[in-house]
Amino acid sequence: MSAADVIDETVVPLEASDLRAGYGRKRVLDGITLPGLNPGEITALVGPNAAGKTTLLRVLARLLPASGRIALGTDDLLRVGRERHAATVTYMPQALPQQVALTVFESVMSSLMATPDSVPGGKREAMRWTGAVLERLEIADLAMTSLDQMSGGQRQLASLAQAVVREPRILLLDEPTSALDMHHSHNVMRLTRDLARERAMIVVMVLHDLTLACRWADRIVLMCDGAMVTSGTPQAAITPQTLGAVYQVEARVERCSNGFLQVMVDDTLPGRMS
Amino acid sequence: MTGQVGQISPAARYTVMIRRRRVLLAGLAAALVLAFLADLMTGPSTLTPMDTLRILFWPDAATRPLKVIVWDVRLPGAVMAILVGGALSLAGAEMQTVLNNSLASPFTLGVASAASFGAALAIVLQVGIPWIPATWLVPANAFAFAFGSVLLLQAVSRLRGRGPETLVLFGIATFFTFNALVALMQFIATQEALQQIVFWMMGSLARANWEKAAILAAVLACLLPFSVAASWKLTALRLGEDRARSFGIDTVRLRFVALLRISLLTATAVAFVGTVGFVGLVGPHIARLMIGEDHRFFLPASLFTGALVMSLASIASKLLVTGVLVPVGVVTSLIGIPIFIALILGRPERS
Repeated sequence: MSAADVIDETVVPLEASDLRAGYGRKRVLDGITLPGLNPGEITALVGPNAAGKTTLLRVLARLLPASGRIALGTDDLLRVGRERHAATVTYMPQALPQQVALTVFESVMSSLMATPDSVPGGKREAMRWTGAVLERLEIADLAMTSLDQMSGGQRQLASLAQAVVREPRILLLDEPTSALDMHHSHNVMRLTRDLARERAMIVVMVLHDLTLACRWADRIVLMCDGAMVTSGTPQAAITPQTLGAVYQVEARVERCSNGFLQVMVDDTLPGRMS
Repeated sequence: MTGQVGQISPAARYTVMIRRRRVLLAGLAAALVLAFLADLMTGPSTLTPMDTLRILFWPDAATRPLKVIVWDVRLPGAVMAILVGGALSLAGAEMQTVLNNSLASPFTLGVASAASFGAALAIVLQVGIPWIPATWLVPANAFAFAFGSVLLLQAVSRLRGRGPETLVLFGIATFFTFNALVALMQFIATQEALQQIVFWMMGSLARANWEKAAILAAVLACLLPFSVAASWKLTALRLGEDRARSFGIDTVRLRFVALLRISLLTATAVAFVGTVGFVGLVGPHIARLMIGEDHRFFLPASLFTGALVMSLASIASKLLVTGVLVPVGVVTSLIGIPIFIALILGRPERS
């Protein structure tokens, strides 16, 4: 089904409120409420280890049971049917499994064909979409290369292709740049941002690299201990005060000549067991 | 790599690749037919290919002894070799995918061990399912235990986490438990029963008959369409559990149903020919190296490679020692391992 059939056609923000989730008896998210996340924008979830970033992402992907509400228009994404959810939201894990003997084209095809109605025109149309996505991500040359014979940067683009080919309205990325060098990190971020703008996708990603987050994200959600500390534009959310409170570090945040923020850490602050 | 192929669209290159895969599958099928004929030709009295074909297609024109040799002695075994190899390899292929472990196979996860224990129980203690005729006691018991072991695997994985890791670990525990139980049976067995157990566990096509072949063929024919129907989902599962779930695939159900198929295939095959370990592991690996993991091709290719390895093993089992039928389970490993190693060493290095 095309993006237009899913939910409604007006461009509506994603509103998550009072989300509670955990693993077994351990509560990780304790009633977190996010600001409205707009189509076409990238939101970066940042925060120290064990802040609950990945848990929040998995809750949004409905990979983890949770209570609360995730509203997109009139739908509550925690309660819609499996097919409707899958047609709206796509989750991209940190990495592809090792040693998968599939070519890039096959892997992207299977992302469409895995569920019968994710592409209206059947196999022929799926092939067209796949080809277009590979061209868009500039990996058409790698179409017939096996995933297990690609470099980390190439694999990450293949992984992104598998997700965006489904044309989700909400794209969730778990540390999409964790294994990549500078060039490939920024390449993945730029392509993701451009796709978000082109397709009016709501993109939410977990990021560890604050410089990357400040450079490419439209909005930053700073998390700590399963709760949101602050959110807003990089300029608003990333300050020496918030970094000190969340990461326990003595940091300087400076605006560079090109307008982007640069975070510099001088030392750790006492008070937190590391 | 880049540059010179830039003009041809990815979709067009994909179409070419699909065509090549079809040709490869057809090639495998042709090789299987040849191996099958060769299997019919070999034995104490060697037949020419022409004779074999003539007896096969015009049995009434052949002399009675030749007809008996081909139709009653060799054909059931040759057919059984293909069915058993195909069934175990298909089961292994699905198992490796749903458990996300390239070492998974009906043998390594204890299904065959459970079958051995069932057989040993019937041989040593004459304990088995009630109202089963005596001649079917051993296979019926082997089937029940093999099937039961997979159900147990499922039940335990439902209790504690649902991921494939739990299943693999529990499968290994099953393997050792049943091996210990079989050893116990061997320890208390009489000389005669002991010999019977050992022989059963080595695996043999000599036990084949038309009845057993028909049952296994029917099981295979009933389950294959379901495997084929699930092939896109299984391919997507290779991209990772969370990703597949996010695509809307019910991975718990997919795994559960696949394991049901696997248990039926394995239990039926092992019940009739005994433990034939290696084919369920090596068949899928050969298929994967040849044809990749698009399961629309990978599953049938696994079926063919498994059948081919088993058919070749059946031929070798007759040729290895003149006049002696070496147990096919032994030969499968001896034949399969060199092919396996050659393929692994021959594949391109990974980056």
